[in-house]
Amino acid sequence: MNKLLQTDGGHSDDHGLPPMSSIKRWLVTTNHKDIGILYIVTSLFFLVMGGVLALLIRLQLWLPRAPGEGLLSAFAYNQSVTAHGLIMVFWFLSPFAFGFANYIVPLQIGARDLAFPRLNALSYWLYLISGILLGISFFQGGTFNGGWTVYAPLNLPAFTPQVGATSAILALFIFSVAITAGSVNFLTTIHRMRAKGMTLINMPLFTWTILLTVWMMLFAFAALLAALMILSSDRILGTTYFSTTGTQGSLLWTHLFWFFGHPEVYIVFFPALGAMAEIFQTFTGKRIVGRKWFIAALVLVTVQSFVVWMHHMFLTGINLEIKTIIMITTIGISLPFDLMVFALIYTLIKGRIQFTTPFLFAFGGLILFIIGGITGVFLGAVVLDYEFRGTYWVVAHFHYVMVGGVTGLVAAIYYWFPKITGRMYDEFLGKVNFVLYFIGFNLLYFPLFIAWETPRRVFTYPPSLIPWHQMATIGGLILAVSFAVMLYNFFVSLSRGEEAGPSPWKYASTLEWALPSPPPLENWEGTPTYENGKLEFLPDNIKTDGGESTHE
Amino acid sequence: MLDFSFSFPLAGSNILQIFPTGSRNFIFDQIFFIFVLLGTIVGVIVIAYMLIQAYRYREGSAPKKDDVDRPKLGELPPPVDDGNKLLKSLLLSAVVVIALVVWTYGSLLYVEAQPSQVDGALTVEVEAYQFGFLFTYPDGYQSTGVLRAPVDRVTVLKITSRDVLHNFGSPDLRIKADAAPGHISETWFLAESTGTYDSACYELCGAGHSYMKADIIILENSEFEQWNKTKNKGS
Ligand code: HEM
Ligand SMILES: [Cu+2]
Ligand SMILES: [Cu+2]
Repeated sequence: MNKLLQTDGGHSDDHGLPPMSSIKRWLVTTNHKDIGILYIVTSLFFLVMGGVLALLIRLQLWLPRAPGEGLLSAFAYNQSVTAHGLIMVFWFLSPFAFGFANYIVPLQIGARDLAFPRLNALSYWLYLISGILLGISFFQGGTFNGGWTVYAPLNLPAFTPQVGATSAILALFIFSVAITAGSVNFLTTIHRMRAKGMTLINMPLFTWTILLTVWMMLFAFAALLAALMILSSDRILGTTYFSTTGTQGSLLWTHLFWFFGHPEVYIVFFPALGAMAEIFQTFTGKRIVGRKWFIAALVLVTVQSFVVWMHHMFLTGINLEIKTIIMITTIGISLPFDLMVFALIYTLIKGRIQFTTPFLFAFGGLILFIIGGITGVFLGAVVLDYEFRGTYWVVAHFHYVMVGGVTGLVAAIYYWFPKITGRMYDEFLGKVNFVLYFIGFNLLYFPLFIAWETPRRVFTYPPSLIPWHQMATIGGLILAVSFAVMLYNFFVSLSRGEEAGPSPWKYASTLEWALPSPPPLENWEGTPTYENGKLEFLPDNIKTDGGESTHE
Repeated sequence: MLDFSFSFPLAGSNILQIFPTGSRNFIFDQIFFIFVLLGTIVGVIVIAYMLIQAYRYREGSAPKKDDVDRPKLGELPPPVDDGNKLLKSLLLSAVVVIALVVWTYGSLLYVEAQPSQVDGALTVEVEAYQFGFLFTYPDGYQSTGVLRAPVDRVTVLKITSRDVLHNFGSPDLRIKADAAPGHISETWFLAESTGTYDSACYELCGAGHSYMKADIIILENSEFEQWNKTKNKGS
């Protein structure tokens, strides 16, 4: 097919696709780089949407409110909290990471595209449709308002009768289908389409984390999909699987949800971790210390992630023996993370560290992750978890971890911006972005540890905690400004940035940096190979698969 | 089933016992304090170390002569075995984390031990509903929104729900338990001083969740008995 296009269309860059400036191009494209860009841009829209909801929540929390006071009604508040959580986790964080995965992974392993480009486009469009449906659900009598965990039996029409609530569940369902299709695509690509010599163990760490992420997705989203199918049937067909009588319904949901939900935590974090590892390597000029151990730790976490889900249920009807087992597996899963953190830290030693914007974000992201990790150990101690459950301790902890992950992905967007656009971003604005981001972040989330006695998903709290909540709200606004700076930086640099050349980074080592920026539609001429221990491009006609026939 | 027999109530900790036991507040405060202390120390050391190394090896500060093999474009990662230091650090952190959590395990067993067998414990059934709590005393007396209990005596709560998932918790007394329909969760507390404590729902349960609260009024034993005797006559 490639060759056909080449002989037919000569070497015009777009191979029959409309140019990038035309809207039609973006509707018909199946190219992995185009889809990557679509994912990144779309997910940033959802970041804004989730961010606006977050700011509404934070403004409501400026003071403890009596019923009816403040910007949001109680019902609107519950919708905001729920939709914020769902949007940030599902429609922003993962698709943002998979924008990079789409763009970068095939380049890193030397594949021309994903294994099933059309399926890839389908994944994207299902994702977009599901997101739009979620947006619409707000106007159908209100969207789902039972928390991002969608606990039963609150998730049943008896308690959340809004049409919008059903739409939100369907949106989630479509999203899960998109993810499942995407994970099959990436699995096939990474396992079957690597360049010669690019063995699994040699794969760049970003590709490694994506591989493990899609393995987790495959199993975790299967559980979610099953749960959502049952729930949709309850909501639409009137079945009563999660029925209100008896404990079975609520327990069934909780187990299914967290069997998905805990791996999901790593699903959203792994890509950021991989990007951080590569960024550390590039800007310290040092290879990751203990690379093999790092990979082993990633694999271990992937497997372990499926045996800890009940730590979300320490108070939910499980007995002491099971609590003990889950407590052990939970401590167990924190240890590989320790190893990875140490690996990143030791990579600094003897480095030649360039404090570029991507490095600052990766470094900052690591600090945030460490704080998130330490406060997570508190939750692993079951006696403490009993008290922290449902409070802002949990809220602060998971934001440190997840938004710590976002920090790593912001590092990634700065890191790959020159590759994707061919232009340099503005370094000064980038640093301003980082300073605002880091201050805003900590001002937003650290006070929440101190105000931890605030119950979660509630907008009344003891008046003594007002100063902490006001600090957090101000931090949230600063964080929002920092994202505005980032978007402005990219917007301006798209037209005015310096030409980046193939690699603006001195110590970049992965394949994508050997290509022009942006890489041509077909990525490269010839065939990349690592057969001789380093990257080479073999001319096409040396390929031994039967010559240059155009009859394929 | 293992048998963990502890004597109740144990206010304050026994010196011979390493892990804290006693009232829920006491246990929580002890463990939380140690965790905050160690967490802060570890966090500060690790982050300071990172910052120092990052500053020390910033570009330009390093010696001109570079004897380190730097990553090159298009390379495959060379097989180096530099995991030793990593594994040592891992071991250290593992010891700290495991020691901490195992230390708290004793307290967990204590908290989980069947408190209903304690002599003189008061048992109250708690039924959560959208949006409030109904308390039922042993003699069948019911009240909503207010739970009265005696000081210095174990109170056992048997918690369930009428409709959706709720969670009954009191930050002041350090208790929390899920309220699930069709299921009874048990928890207990021991108030060490009289007064009015807050309790609330800790699981999103609908539009009224933010205001789903109840007062826990802790009375002197004699006052409580007095109230207990007269409660059925009044309201
Ligand atoms: C960008 C990545 C973010 C992610 C992945 C994320 C994720 C989440 C999740 C999963 C929840 C739980 C929702 C629920 O309880 O159903 C949540 C709640 C919340 N988030 Fe975020 N969030 C992000 C950013 C932010 C930002 C920027 C702010 C502040 C401006 C914020 C403020 C809040 C608040 C106030 C809550 C409500 C806490 C509660 O009452 O439970 N989040 N977030
Ligand atoms: Cu979990
Ligand atoms: Cu509630």
